[in-house]
Amino acid sequence: MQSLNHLQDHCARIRALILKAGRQGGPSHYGGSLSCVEILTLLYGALLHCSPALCRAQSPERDRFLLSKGHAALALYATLCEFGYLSLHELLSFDADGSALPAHCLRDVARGLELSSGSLGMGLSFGCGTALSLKKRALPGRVYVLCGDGELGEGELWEGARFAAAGGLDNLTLLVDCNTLQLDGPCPVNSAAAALQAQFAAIGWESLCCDGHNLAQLYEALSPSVPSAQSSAKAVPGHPRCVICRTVKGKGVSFMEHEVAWHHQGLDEERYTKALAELGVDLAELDDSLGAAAAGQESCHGA
Amino acid sequence: MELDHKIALSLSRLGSRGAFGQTLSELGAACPELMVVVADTLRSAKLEDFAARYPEKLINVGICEQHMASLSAGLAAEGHKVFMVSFAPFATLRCYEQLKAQIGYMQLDVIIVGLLSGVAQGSAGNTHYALEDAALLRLIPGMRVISPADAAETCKAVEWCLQHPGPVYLRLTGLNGLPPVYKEDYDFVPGKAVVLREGTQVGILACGAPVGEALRAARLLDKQGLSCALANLHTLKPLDTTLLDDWARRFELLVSVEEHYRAGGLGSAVAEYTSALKGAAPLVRLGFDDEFPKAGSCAWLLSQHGLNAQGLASQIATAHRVLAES
Repeated sequence: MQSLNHLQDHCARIRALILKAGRQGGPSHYGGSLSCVEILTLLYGALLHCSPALCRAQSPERDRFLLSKGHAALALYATLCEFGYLSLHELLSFDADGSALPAHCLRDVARGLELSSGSLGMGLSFGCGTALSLKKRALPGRVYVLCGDGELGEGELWEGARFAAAGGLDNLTLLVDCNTLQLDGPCPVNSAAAALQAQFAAIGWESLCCDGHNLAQLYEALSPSVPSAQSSAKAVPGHPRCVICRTVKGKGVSFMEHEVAWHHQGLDEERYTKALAELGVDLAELDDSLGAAAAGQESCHGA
Repeated sequence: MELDHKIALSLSRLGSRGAFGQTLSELGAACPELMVVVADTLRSAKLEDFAARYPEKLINVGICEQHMASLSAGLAAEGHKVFMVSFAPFATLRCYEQLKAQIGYMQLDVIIVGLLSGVAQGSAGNTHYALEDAALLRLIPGMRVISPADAAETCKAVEWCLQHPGPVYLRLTGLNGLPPVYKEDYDFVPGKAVVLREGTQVGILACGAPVGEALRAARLLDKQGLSCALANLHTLKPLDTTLLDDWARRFELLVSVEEHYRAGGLGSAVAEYTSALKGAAPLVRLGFDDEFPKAGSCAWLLSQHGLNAQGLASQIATAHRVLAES
């Protein structure tokens, strides 16, 4: 397995970018954004066959990442910025009037945004369409869909889950950001990771659980080539894969962790400073590095 | 398709669903990116032949219309031209938010086909009627809404949809064996109404299967001395505003006719436009009242609600008389 150590720094920086960009607007979805940072970092930093250039070219060869839990748009934007798909300037237009980066995503493939989302439960079925099309065209790309555990309350998601299994969509992976909280509090239906894992296994998915903040565990669960030792069903072709990621809502910022109020709230200066200190990220350094990366990209374009 | 009398009669026997299935079968080979998604409605949509000829282009998802809509969006985002097909209420109301948030919001190339819309499902009752579908679909930005008058026009609409990007709502009404409205060839252009009959006093604006009834009503009224023009507004969105600019000032009275609630459909769309026109003729909107109709055969329902030729003629004559006396 490749070393994943370098990704830890990306995680901290992405969390800082979430806070920085989130403060551009009013209240923002910090809790559900912070819970999926390792998932996004692993995908964009190590697993996805995707790049800013492949997206700009709308290359059919790219892997597709579909954010079904659209309220975590802030996390996706921050990740896309960290990995060069969006400039810092674009990221900081988050939530501004008329912005291309509103609080819930707008499809804009050239910027790496594959799906307009916000209303929950629709991303998996959309991803089934994507995965089916890739198979029909014999394209190698994989489709990754990220949903929340609260989102599993939407019936359409189970329509899609049954279809994916029946259709043998083994180029499709569903990640469940299982942070156990939704807007009003705990998910009302048992969303213990083991219970969810069993539900997906029962309808024909290869179904795994992992610590959604542990990059090595995520890598093992997500890597298409690695059959999982922990899978009760054998990793065989013909099954879509579901990875239930046990996460903490608000992860990385002590006063946000497990706090339902931080599903969507404003962040004042004092707490912002405290959060950045906890993350150990020097904002000026972060801005400089992103600015330098953007300048580097521009000069590449000019060449 | 070059329409003639013989073809028109043969299509009329097939009905709008048969015409839809046959057109896709005939033209499917010419559209490599075509995908047809049905929700346990393969036989209802008369797609058996299509499925046999192009099994790789047909997906039957089973009874899950929300999934059908999102899956169709996912396919379209990858460059497919997708027809998603179910009975009209299930293809629209059941998955309305998916139509808005995915097909509409991302402006994807999906043709939503609503089978047996209006009250074509007869004794099945209100769960199977679609008397609000045109209203809902008209509200999605960028969504064209097309309601063909007969089976031949259904063929032309499908042919057009195969050649132009969506999204489109194709609202199919009427039962098999209705007399054809069109017996010779004509140009079908979405957004461009077809004047079927000239007249001098009343301008009738109709869409869907009621166009045929309106044509017969106009003939009845002519015999009674009331001269009625008739236009087939097969496209509810975008409306043919050029025709409306002219007709609203040319006639004493405008009458809209549709197999839909009076609210929200063609009549509402026309009213929204003509209400701002200076000197526009009054508009009487004929359709279903704001209630759940009692179940019964389609013909019985149309008769009960004044939407067959006799009912239309009587309502139009009354409206014209009231206007003349006022």
